[in-house]
Amino acid sequence: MNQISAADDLGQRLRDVVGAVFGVDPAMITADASSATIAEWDSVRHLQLMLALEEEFNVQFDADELVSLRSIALIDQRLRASAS
Amino acid sequence: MTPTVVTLPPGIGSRGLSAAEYARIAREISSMADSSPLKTLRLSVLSSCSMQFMQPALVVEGARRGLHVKAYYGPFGQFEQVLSDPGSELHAFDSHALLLFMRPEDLDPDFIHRYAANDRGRDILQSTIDRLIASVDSFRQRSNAPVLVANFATPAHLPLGPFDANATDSLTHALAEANLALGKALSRYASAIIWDYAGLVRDSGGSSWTDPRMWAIARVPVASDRQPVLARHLARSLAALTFTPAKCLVLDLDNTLWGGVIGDDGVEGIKLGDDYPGNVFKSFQRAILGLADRGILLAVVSKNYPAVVEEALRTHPEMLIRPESISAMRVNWLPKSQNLREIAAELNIGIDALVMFDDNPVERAEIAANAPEVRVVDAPADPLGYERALYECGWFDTVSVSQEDRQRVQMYRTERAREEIRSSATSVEEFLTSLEMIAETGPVDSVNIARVAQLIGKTNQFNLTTRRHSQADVARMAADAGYEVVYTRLADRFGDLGLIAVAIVDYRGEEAIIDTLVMSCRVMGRQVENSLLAEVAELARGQGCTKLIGEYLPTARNGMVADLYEKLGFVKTETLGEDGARFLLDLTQTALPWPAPIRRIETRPAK
Repeated sequence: MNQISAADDLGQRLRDVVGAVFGVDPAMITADASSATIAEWDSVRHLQLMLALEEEFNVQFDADELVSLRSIALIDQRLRASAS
Repeated sequence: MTPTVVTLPPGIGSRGLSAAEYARIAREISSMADSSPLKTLRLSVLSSCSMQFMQPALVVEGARRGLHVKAYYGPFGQFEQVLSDPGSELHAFDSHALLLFMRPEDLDPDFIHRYAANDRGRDILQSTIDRLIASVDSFRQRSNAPVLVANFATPAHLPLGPFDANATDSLTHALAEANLALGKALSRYASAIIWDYAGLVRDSGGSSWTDPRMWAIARVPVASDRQPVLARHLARSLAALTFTPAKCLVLDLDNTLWGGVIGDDGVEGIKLGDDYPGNVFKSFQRAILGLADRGILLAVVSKNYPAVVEEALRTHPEMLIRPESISAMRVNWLPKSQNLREIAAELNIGIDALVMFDDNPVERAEIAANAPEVRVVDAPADPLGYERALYECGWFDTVSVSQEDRQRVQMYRTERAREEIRSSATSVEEFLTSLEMIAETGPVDSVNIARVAQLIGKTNQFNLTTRRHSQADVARMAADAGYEVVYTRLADRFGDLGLIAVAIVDYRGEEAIIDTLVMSCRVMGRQVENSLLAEVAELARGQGCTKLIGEYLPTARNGMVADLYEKLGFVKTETLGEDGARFLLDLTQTALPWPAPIRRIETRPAK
């Protein structure tokens, strides 16, 4: 499962970046949050988020991923895949 | 107005920020009240591609330059529609500036890749220029705000690769010519200027400027790691349009103009020459003289022994900055903040017109604490970074450099010669007569309008109303029969002082109202204002006016002219606001005589 635990460093960093880009409290960002549930997650901020994540986690998404990683669960899974 | 040094959220200083930090800090700045020390600047952006990704970085970089940037981004690809619709969001936004960002490759995707094949490249460029000019015209019908027009960047890949520049019909040549043509076309407009996007892309490594993913997905032409560079460049330009540029660069000496400490190392021991590390300092001196060439005054403040400094500046064979280039000097052991105040007073400029360059962070902190109006360059520890820090501080940026600017250093030198005869003359009248002044007064024309607008925009002290009319406003009034825009040029036995005073008169039936009266501080105390007002009175009589009306609106800086009109025989008729006033001169009763010490030369006919 892609559960995000508060004690989990990667999960916390992810929520911090999402919180900074969208201007929402990181504690409010739950594992099931997505562009469908967070009003601030529009198409411009989505790309800003992707690029901020690339910087924070030192990864590079391909164009398909940039388009499709529209939920916390998907992002979390993708970041863990490159971290392992 | 000068930029306020703002304390931004802790730690942002001048360091690089991550995208997440930009987003977070931009949000904090945007939520600041309008009463914050930042100056609000509303920017409209019309572009042929997606530009709003720069917004977080633009807000932060704007704040670093004293601006609270609020931006409106038009729907991309739409120029004519948005500009011609009086009800559009753009017009409702009441912009302080408009950025037009139109790329030929967005208008026609064949432009780059098939440039050689279809022979349409030049037509596409021409039609891009035509659309940009039409957009400026359209905007001008509703706003006089400055327009920044992005010029055309060279694409990362050229049709003929490394040899593209060889062929005169190549894309490389066509772009260079188009950029010149664009600049030429814009030069006809007041406050419509090139924003050098091409230079920015070139300097930042053209091929890594664009992230192909962002272009393909979202039509964003600028990679995310370049957005801060883009934002800094734009924020710097917007600050230059908003704030008064600095007038004087004040330099430290040891480890700034040369390497080493002259008090310890001696004149022969300092590092200055054509080999490392002396060449670093020599090159920095060249960069400084480049600023002097375009009218920035140079001054020196150094904790040092005056005799050894004097000897070094006069005799060191590698020294480029000689005493003649330095308009004011304080070499002593007093706090630098105190010396800076004295220098501002000596040069008769505001202390906020000074920029200090000092390698020593302790001295910089002392100045920041005790003379916070002085703009202090954040000089890097390594002298190799000095030039860049000086070029990038942006405090000397001006949209145009006038002839007066170029001659300013020489003018200050001759001012010292005038001072010498002033001290030997026995009366003011004798002194003024001995100057052999010649004044030319006339209506503003297309040649001198930039200088006229500059004087109106920059003069703080001898400025009766401080109405900052833009060049476009001045042009409009000059063309309007209901106004008169008159200037004075002055020369004396020491040389040409240039265009140094301007009056704008608003004719309203019987009344001629002096909307604006400004004069350069360089010519204060020489009765030049009397000559300009004598001319104004004569013109007003010629228009059939019987009343000449002057206004004084006080600011923090213009106290010296509070009683100007009364001294000339005007009568105070009413108060304006707190301490302002209106004054009346009855043209049927009182004459304003032309001052005797100034010879008048034939003016061109007023309209």
